[in-house]
Amino acid sequence: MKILWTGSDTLFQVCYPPGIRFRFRVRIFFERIMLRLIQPFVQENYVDHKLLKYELIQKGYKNIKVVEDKLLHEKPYPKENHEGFNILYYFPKDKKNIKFMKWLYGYDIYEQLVNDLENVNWIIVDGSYDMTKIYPIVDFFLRPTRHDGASRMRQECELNNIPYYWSQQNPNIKKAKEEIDKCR
Amino acid sequence: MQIETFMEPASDKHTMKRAEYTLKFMASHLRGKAENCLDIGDSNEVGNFITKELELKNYNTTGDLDYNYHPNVDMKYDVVICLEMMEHLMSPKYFLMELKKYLHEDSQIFFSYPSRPKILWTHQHFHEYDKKRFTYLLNQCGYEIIDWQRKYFPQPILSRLRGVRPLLRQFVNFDNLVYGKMKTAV
Repeated sequence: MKILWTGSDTLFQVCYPPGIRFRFRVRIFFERIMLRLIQPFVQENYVDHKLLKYELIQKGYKNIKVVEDKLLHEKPYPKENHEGFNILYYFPKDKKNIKFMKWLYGYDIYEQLVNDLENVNWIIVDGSYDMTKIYPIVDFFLRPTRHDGASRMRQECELNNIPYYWSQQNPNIKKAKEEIDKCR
Repeated sequence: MQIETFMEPASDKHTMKRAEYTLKFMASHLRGKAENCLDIGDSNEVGNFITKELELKNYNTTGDLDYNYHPNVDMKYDVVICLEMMEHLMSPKYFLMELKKYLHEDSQIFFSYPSRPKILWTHQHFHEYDKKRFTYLLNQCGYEIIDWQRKYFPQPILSRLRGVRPLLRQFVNFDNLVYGKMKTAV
């Protein structure tokens, strides 16, 4: 058996993140027990970033391998002319755990930047959007996450030569602003 | 003094158990962006095991740590590990002050060292620090301690039956793990 861990999976192993509901907390508790129990039958644990590996090591997991995420958009798209400065921000639709999602994806930082930055067009996407039309018109990608793996969207932006701010942990609004100002 | 002359072979179970514990301690503090690691001293099994597990590029040092040493590659390191070597140094302050040359402001430093009553020190141990003294030493050299853990590691009892002092060491065989950083100027 092989297990592929996402960023949130490993986060739930290390802590109960803020903003989660009681039922979700119970689910995490039982998931932790189940994942421990099946470990003797697991040949390899796959993660997409070193940070996730560290978290699993911390919890005593073994046979962990860092593998590269498969990108959904593997080729760069030609840039399209557009008006204004477009900033892309990813925020998934999950109404059940909205508080947790806001904490995880640094929604507070996004909100503050919306207030602080003028003459900026914000493109907010979730997993359902067709990115082939969006990447060509994006000038900057904002990802002020509080916990993240390798971030597939960040890698796709890198491929498309889109500058980005990616915190992975501990987002910093000052740094984000600086990065945005460099590109404007 | 050459530190490598005192290195014990690391292949035994007890050493690897300690190495795994150190690995967990380091994993709980390391950030995902760390790339290269300076393992103080010669290349050894424990250092190689830890850096391999943490997916870091391993570099070592050459020279006398008490007098004149330098890393094999001259650069600023993200992570520095000083495993079971502080107690062998005659002039730890020199070592720590020199180390700053190879650190940037976000570098993370990990120490592990034993601490037992002075009567139980082995012949090659010149300083076994308690928490208070080690904190003072690091502060004096411009470092700060962020986390400190103390763990008891009993060895196989048969290996302790060589004499009275080795037997007594069995009961106080504590290992300290310290995570520190260079102090940033305010």
